[in-house]
Amino acid sequence: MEQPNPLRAGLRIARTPEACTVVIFGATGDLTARKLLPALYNLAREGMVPAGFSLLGVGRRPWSDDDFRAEMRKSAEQFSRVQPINEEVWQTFAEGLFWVGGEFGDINTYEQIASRLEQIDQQRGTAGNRLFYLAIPPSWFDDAISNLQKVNLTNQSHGWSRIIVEKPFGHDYKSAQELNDLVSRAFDESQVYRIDHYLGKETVQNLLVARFANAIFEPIWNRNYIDHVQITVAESLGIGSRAGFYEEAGALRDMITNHMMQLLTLTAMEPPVEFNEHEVRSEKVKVLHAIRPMNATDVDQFALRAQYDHGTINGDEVPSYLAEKGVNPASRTPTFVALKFEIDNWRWAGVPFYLRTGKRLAKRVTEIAIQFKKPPLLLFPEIRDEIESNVLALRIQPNEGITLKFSAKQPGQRMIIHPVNMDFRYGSSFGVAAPEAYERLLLDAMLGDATLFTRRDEVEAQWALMTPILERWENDGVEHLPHYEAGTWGPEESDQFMQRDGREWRKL
Amino acid sequence: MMGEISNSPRPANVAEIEDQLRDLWRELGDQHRDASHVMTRVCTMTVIGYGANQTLAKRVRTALPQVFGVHPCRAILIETGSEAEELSAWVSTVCQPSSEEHEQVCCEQITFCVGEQMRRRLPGTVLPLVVSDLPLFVWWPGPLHPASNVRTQLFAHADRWIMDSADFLDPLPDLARLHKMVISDQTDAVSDLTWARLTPWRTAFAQIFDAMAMRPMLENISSIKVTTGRHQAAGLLSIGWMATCLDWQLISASGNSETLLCNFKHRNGTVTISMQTSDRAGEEVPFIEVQAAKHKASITVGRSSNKQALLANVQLDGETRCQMSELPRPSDSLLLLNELNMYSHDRVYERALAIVAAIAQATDPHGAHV
Repeated sequence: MEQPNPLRAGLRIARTPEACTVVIFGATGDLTARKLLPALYNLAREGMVPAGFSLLGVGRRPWSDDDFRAEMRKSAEQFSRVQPINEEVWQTFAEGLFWVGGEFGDINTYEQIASRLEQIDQQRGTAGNRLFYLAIPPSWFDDAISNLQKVNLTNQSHGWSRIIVEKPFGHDYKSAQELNDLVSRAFDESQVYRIDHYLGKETVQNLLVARFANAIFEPIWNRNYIDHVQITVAESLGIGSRAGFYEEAGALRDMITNHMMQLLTLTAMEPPVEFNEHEVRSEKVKVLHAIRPMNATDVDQFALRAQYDHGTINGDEVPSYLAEKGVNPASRTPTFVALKFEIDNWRWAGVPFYLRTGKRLAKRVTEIAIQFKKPPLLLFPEIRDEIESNVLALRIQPNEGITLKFSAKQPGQRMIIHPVNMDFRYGSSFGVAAPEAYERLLLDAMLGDATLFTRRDEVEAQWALMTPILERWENDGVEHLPHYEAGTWGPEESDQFMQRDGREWRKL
Repeated sequence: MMGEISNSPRPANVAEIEDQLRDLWRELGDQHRDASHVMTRVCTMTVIGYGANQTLAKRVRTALPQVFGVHPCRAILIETGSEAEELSAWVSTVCQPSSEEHEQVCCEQITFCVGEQMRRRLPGTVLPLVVSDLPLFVWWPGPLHPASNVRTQLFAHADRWIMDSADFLDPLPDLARLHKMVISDQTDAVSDLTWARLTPWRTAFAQIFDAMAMRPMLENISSIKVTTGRHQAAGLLSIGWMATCLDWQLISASGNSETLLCNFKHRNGTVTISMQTSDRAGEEVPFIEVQAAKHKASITVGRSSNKQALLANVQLDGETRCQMSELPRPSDSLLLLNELNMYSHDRVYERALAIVAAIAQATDPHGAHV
């Protein structure tokens, strides 16, 4: 077992990775400019990457190293969360930036990459450690992965070799399996880091801390005390310029399959025996396996979709989905989805999890609401119906925080009971800016910690749950697609969906 | 974006400070009843800043209110050194925009001005104002004078004391005295702002040895030259840190706070450490040169030539590798912000301090200065 560095004892920065080269495929793209390069620069600025750290950009443009450095400098200036750029840090960082130009489908490109990496190893002491980042459309994954294998860059005989794959991880169960098979032909699962930037957000990690660093929640976090759970990811924005993607994906693939299922599994999972990649991810997968799969009849009963009409958001008129630029005027793509899941295990039996997400809803809000059961015996008969259930709401964004709703007596002679909120907000109590999700995730990948990345079985288990819904919706034809006015909380059917169970959506 | 909203400190009756603070909050609420922003009163800890003379009082007055934005708290500023025989108090509220939209986070500040004769009344006046069941930090900048009743009382109730060994008049014996204080009261944790200034420097040095290939060199270090600037305590603590992390045993030491020569024993031999004072080093972090004769390797870590960054240089087998990371000159407030995140003992610091105390003992075996 690797001995820890004795000089690290007690240091507030726990560990930095070994010297390595990050190879970004698609380095001229938006993701690199907006997220990846600023994240890597900020890690360097904070001394979180070691001497010798190098970045090799790969793209079609015939750039030189200096061209690439100049472009990356622009993106740091424009998108780094800390400004201005520190000249000295940038100079040292930029010395480690290199470029290889070529087609992703051409083996020569990969031969050049291999030769360049060897040079970098010799010049900068990166010791054969490589992290490949596929910031390219999935249609190029096959070429990139196969060619990396052909030029022997996937084996770990000399240093380590890892690959980061951006979502979407497929578009249904079959395609997810195919993608996983493709990746696993060249890389062992321990080398693969499937990135969902949602998991790198502080807020999601705070959910784990709220659950597992406080003793008061665990005893009541089960079917004995909880009536149901509501997870909402509401957006007031429309599809913007993403019509091409959204027409293919819809709300289910866009939000539920990755982000919302992460929230569900983190809420429902058992305490892991250790906070490490194996234990945390295994507990999440167990939750997915315990979710009752839907058949076609269930889909009609437990899943609802809708599409937005024109309406008003923040006082501005907004068009309907069908009138958005790039959308097929006859499109039946859902922009709103509500689902009810049952988790068949001892902790959650009989406690439904309701998920809803949509575009052009009344406001932007993401939260997990744990709705508790009412008291078993009500001592105040005259106001029995006025007592509301306790709710523990974990607000993910905006105004991240935790609110506990409980009942209190209004001062006076009469027994008047009001619901009141005990409110904690991260932004008020901690005045520090959180690092960007990509900073945390890139650092973790360089360190070899996959806890916040999605494992193969997790991806496939998610798709196994979603695919029957997609098939029902896409193949069986739909007589009626509900619509909702933009700027509201979804279609009437959404309220009826909850009323059937004697419940209602939280008013957010 | 809306800026800070604060009211001028209002004179307060020492016996009715809580009532007067309550009035201030009520007034603040009334004034902003129709505002577009929400005023949220937040308190996550009590921080007491003690300025033992006019200069230190100014330092406390400048730095302490700047922590409100990150650590909303009740701040109690104690300014001594006034000639008047008085114990007077002021109360004020400070609201700053939070990261939430349309929200101002509001904190409260109590300032005491105390004349020499009235100091004895301080513990009984200040301690009832500490917010219940929240952490108490006491920041006490300045030289390490003999213990007083005020310091003893405040430290006894604090979860953490914050000192700055850069203020010590003679760092070598004073750090040894601080060590005595720390071991005599095991329950409280201590922070040293000089140690906090060293953190990025220690990190940069440690990082070199994250690579397994460099690790054998740690066991074969033959000599170290430490050059300190004005903050000699930083140089001494850096020696203590390396010795404790690498499990070196002190053999001999001679010199004083400015010039020092020590010999340590380690598993594979001995290491000689010399320390001297020079303008070449940055003020708050030392410049260090490490030699490992067996490996023909040398390492330097210190501020870069234009002093804006920290430069770590490794020469091994004729090749040079360097790493540059940002190293702003940390203000008191920036250092405090970090220290207020810590609640438990920093055992590595305490062990480094013990090594410095051992060096002091070796240079002054009769304890004339300790």
